[in-house]
Amino acid sequence: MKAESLKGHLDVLVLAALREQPLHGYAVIEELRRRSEGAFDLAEGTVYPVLHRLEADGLLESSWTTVSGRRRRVYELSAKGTKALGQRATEWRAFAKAVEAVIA
Amino acid sequence: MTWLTSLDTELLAAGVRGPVRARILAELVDHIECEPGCESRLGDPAAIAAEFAADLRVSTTRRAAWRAFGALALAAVGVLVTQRAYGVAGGWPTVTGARATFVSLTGIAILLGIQIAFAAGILGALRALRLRRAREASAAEFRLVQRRFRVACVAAALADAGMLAHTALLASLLPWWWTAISVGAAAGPLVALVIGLRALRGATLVTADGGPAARALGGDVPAVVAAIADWFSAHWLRLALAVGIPTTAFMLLSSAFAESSWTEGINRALGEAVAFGCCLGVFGRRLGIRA
Repeated sequence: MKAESLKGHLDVLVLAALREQPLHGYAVIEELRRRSEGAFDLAEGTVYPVLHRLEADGLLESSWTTVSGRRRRVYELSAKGTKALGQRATEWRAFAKAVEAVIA
Repeated sequence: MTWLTSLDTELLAAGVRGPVRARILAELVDHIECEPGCESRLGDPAAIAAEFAADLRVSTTRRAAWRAFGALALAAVGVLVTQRAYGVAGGWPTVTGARATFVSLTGIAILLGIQIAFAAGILGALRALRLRRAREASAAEFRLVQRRFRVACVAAALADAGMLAHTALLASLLPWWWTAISVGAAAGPLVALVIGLRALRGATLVTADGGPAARALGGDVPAVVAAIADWFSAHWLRLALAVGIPTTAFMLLSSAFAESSWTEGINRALGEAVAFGCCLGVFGRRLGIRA
């Protein structure tokens, strides 16, 4: 799936990737790749602006940790983010169901 | 040039600096350390830097607008306090010679500064309200908000500098407490205005020419406020009224309060209306009121 198709959906995908546990940027991308079984063909660097934006909107919280002597920013869903993920997931399912009904 | 140095260059070019730039680079260093050789999958550094800049445009403009608005409100209170202090201290002292010339010149600077600051501040706030409601906004729209608040802050700083000069010129003719109040009422807002201008400069850095439309300022605006802002923004004459009426009303009330005289308030308000018309003619296009 091309990056252009993912545009506009990346926010909810990143939120969903962080639903289970806090992750750093690389791990978020790995999680997206694992769950999509490699279907998403996106420039990995584009995930970082999304992480920053979601944090600025209060949907994510983040903190520094140190791993092997280098700094690592770890992100987790905030309460607001958990609520937003629930809403967006519901909207997405309704949308996907409608599209499926049309193109089936 | 490595991918990281290329990203660093692009971030600087896009105006992303300081702790935000350091954080982005640290995160990407960690990313590359997780899987050496993955740079080819990270994407175009210029596109990533542009995306960061577009998002920063929102947060920095929002922060700068609030700081500038707060500083302008503080400056307005400072003007009211100073005007009232003149009245309590027994009114304007009699000045002659060169001192009278300087007092007149600084008086003109204060008067002009207040007019322009008030008008540009209201226009900046109206435009910021529109950007809060929009889903997307171009860099040009952000620049307009920033420019209006910058004009307002510079004009208010000019007025405050004039008030400080007035204080220096009149200190020997008025009580010591008047000097203390006047210095505080001008210097405090001046510091706030400098902070506001610094914030606006930071916002300007990430609002490069052109660039794609990005998120607007975001946030809910009450429907009544939105309807009023839309009505006034629909035509330049309405927009001029939206600025002119509060400016004249401010002059009427502040002068009546400072001089304990409605006649004086009305006289100054009429002068204000004329001055506003002149300012509209001179600065209207620069502030984006007139086409």
